Amino acid sequence: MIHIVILATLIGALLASLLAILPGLHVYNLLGLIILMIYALQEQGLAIGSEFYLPLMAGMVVSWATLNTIPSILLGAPDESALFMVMPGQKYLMEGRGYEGVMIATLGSLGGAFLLVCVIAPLAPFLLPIIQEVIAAHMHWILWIIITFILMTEWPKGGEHGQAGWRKFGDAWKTLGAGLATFALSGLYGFILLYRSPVSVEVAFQNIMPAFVGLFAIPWCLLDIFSKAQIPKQVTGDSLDIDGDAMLHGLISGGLGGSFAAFHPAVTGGVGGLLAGHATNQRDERAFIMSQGVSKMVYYAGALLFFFVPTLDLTRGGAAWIMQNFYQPSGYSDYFMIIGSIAIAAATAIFMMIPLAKASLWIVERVNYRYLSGTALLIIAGMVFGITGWRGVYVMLVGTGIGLLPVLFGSRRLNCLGVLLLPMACNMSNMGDKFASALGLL
Amino acid sequence: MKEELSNNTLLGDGYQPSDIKCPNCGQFSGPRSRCQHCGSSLNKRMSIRLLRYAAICLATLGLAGLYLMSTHSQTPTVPIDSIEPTMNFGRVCVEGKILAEPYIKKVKGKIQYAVIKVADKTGQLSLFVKRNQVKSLIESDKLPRSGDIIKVVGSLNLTANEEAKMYLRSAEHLELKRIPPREITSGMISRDMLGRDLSLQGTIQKIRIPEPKSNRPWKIDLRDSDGTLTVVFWPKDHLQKRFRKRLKKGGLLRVRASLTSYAGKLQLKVEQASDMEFLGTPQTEDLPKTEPKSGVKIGDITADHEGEWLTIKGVVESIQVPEAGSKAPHKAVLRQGDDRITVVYWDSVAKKIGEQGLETGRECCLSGVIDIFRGELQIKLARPSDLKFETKTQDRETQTNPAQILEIGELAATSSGEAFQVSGILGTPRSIRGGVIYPLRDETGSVSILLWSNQLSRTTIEQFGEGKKATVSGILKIWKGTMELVPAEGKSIKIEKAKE
Repeated sequence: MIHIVILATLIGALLASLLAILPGLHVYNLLGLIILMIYALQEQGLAIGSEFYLPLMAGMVVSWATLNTIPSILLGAPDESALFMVMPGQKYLMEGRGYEGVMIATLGSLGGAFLLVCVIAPLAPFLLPIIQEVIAAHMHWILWIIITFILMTEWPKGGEHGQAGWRKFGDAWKTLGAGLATFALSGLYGFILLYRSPVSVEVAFQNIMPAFVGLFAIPWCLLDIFSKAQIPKQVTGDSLDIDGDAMLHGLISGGLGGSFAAFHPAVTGGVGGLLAGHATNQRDERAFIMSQGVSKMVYYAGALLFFFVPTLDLTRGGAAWIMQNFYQPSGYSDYFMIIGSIAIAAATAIFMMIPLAKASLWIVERVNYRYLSGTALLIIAGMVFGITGWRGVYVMLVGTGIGLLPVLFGSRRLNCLGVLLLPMACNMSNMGDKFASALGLL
Repeated sequence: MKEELSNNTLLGDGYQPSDIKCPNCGQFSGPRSRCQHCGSSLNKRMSIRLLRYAAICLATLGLAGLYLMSTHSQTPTVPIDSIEPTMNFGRVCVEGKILAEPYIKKVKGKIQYAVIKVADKTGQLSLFVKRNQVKSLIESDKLPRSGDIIKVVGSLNLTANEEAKMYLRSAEHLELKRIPPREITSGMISRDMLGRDLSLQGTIQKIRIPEPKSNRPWKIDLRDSDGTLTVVFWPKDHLQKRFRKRLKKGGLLRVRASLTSYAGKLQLKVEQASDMEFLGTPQTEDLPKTEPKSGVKIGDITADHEGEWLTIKGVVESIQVPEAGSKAPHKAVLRQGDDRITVVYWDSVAKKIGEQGLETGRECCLSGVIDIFRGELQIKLARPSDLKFETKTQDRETQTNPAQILEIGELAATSSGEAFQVSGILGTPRSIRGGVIYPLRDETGSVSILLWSNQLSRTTIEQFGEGKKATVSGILKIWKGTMELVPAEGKSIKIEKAKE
C-alpha cells in the first residue's frame, strides 16, 4: 500500500506542477474534473481505491499551492489566496527580479510545509478540538469583524489634488466606492449562487467554480491581454536577498494567517495573510512575499489536513468539500497517510520549482505573455463550459464583470471574496434565509 | 542580485509603452485614469475605457439577468435514487411519503431542528428542518406525520457513506397531503407494519406507570375485538398529572402511534400527547362491536391464536379459586372431548358471574382472548356477559349428580369428562397443593377422589377419613394416566361411618 501512496502522491504533484504554471487555472477546478473521472470510471465498473486517489489529490493540492507562485508573480495571475502577493511580486518582476520573488515565496512554502508537518500536524488532534469547542459559538461575529476590517482598510486612492469640493470628494471615493460596490455585488452574486444557482443540478458540487474563475482568473487574463506592459529582462542568481529576521517574521506571520484561514470558515489564505500581516506589523516586502508563500501552503494543505484529523469533524477548503462527497476519513491511518503525502508532495514541488521557474522565465522572455494569457483564458473557459455548460459560462461572465471592477478602478480585489464572506456570515448569524427570502431567492 | 534602483522609477519602466506610463511623472500607471503617483488625469486608450464600461455592464446587468434567470427557473423534481454525489448543494424537489414520525431535537424544551424521513418508490433521504422552519410548520399545521405525502424543495447535502440529506430552506417549500393513519385492530398487526403510523381503538386493560424520574415509558394494555396490544409513551412532566387522571382502567382510548418492536414484542409507540384521544369510560356495550370468532374447537387452538378473540364451548371440569388477598386470577378448566383449555378470569368478573357462577360439570359457551402464560394456552374471560350456559341447572344437577351408582370397575378413561356416582371405602389420603386426594376402592377397582379445598368446605373435607365408606358424585378426569373423580360441591358427597 505504501508504494501506491508514494506513487499516487508523486503523480499528483507532477500533474499539478505542470498545470500550476498556467495562469488562472485553479487546483479545485482540476479536482472537480478528477472527481467526475472517478465517477465515470466507477460507472464502468473500474473502482479506484482511496489509497490512490486521496494521496493523488493531496499531492495535487500541495504541489499547486507551492508552484502557483510562478504565474502569481511572473504572469500576474494570482488566485484568491495570493492577491496581496501581486503588488510586491509585480514590483519584483518589473525590477527584473521576478525569479528572486518566486524563490522567496518558495522559501515560504518550504517553511509552511515544515510548520505544517512538524508542528501543526502533531498538535492538531489534541489542540484543534479544544479550539473548535471554544470558538464554535463565536465564529459568526469573528467573520463579521473580518468583513468590517476588509472594508475599513480599503482606503481612498484619489482626492489628493485639485480644489476642494464634490469633484475632489468624488475622486477620492471613486476607488473606495468601486471597492464597496465590488463587495456588495459579490455578496449578492454569492447569495444567488448559494440559494438558486442556475448551474445544472447534476454538477451542483461545482456551483461556485464558474464564479471563482470569473472573479479572479478571467479578469487577470483579460487585463494581460489588453495591457501593453512588457516584462523586462529577468535576472536569475544563486542567492536570495532575505535575512533571518525577515524569514522568521514571514514564517510567523504566514503561519498564523494560513492556520487561521484553514480553520475558520469562509476565510481564505489571502484574508488570513492580511490579518496576520497587520497583527505582526509586517512592513518588509521580502518578509511579506515569504509570508504569503507560508500562508498559501498552510492554508491549502492545512485545510486538507484538518479534514483528516481523527478527533475533529471539520471540513474547510474546496479540496475537503469535494472529498467529503465520496470519502469519510477513518482514523489515524488516513491522517498519517495524508501527512506523508503532504511532505512528499511539498518536497517534490520545491525540487520542481527551480527548473519550472526558469522554464517559465524562458517562455515569458520569448513568447508574448498575452498569448499565454489568451491560451490560459481559453483553457479555463473551456473547462467551465465542459463541466457546467452554458449556464456556467454565463455565471462566469457575470463574475468576470464584477472581478474587473477592482482591477480597472484600482480598488482591492479582495472585495470579490464577498461572494463567500457575505452569505456565510449571514448564514452563520441565522440571517441568511431571511435575507435570501427578502431577495426573493427562497 | 539586487540591482541599484532609482527611488522614482522601476527598472522595467524603460521597457513599457508610453500609454501605460504617466506622461507627467513618467511612472507606471497601468489602466488607471488618474496617476497614483502624481494625481494627473490620464486620458486612457479606448480599449481600457471599453473594458471598464463592459465590466460595469456585465457586473450590474449580468447580475440582474442572473437573478431573474435563477428566480424564474423551475426546480427539477428528482427520484431519490438518482441523487448522485455530484449533486451536492443542488436545489431539488422530492416527492415522497413520510416514513416515520419526525424527530424533533429539543434542548431545555426549545426546538433546535427536526429530521424527517422521506421515501419515494426508489429510496429514502433525511429532510433537515431548522428551528425557525420547524416553528413555522407547527404554526401552520404543516409538520408532516408518518404516512403523509409531501412535495418538498430543498438543498442537498451529501456525504460519503451516509444517507442523502436535504435542507428545507422555507416552510413554504413544503406541500403536504395529510393521509390519516390506517385504522387497525390488534389482530391485524404484523411485523411488516413496523414503523408505520397506525390508529387503534380499545379499552384500557392495564396501566403501568414507572417510578418517578424513571426513563421507562408508561405502558397501557389496550384491548380491542382481536386482542390486546401494549401502547407505550413518555408523557412530559407537566402532562403526567393530567394523564394519571384520565387514564382509567376500562376507559375507551383511541391512539395514533407507530408500530415498534421491543424485546421481540410488537408495541405501539405514541409520539405526541395529542395522539391519545380519550373517548370516555365505556359501558360493556362500548367495547368493539366486532364479533369474536366462533366455532373454534378447543383442540384446534394453538399459539398462533394468541391475541385472538374466540368463542369456545365446553364443560367446566374444574375451578380454582385464588386464596383470599391473592392477586392471582380465578382459573377454570374447560373441556371439549379430550381437549382442555384454562379459562382465566379476575375477581371483578367472578363476582359479577355471581350465583349462576361457573360450576364444575356445567357446559358453557364463552368468549375471550387467547393468551399464553408460562407456555400454556389460556383464554381470558373479560366480561361476565361473555359467558353463557348451554344447559339448565336441573340438567346440570342430573349430570353432575347422577342417580345411578356404578361400580368403580365400570369407570373407563374414555368416559373422561362425564359425571358418575361411585361408592367405596376411602384409603390413605395424599395432600396436594390446594387439595387432597383419597383413593376410593370397591371390589371391582379403585379411583382417586380429588377434593379441592377451594370448592369444598373444610367441614365437608374433614368428614373424609381413611376407612370410611363414601358415595361420591363428580366428573371423571384423567390425570397423568390415573382416573380421578372430582366432586364439585358438598352435596355430591355422602360419608358413612366405617365398619369396625
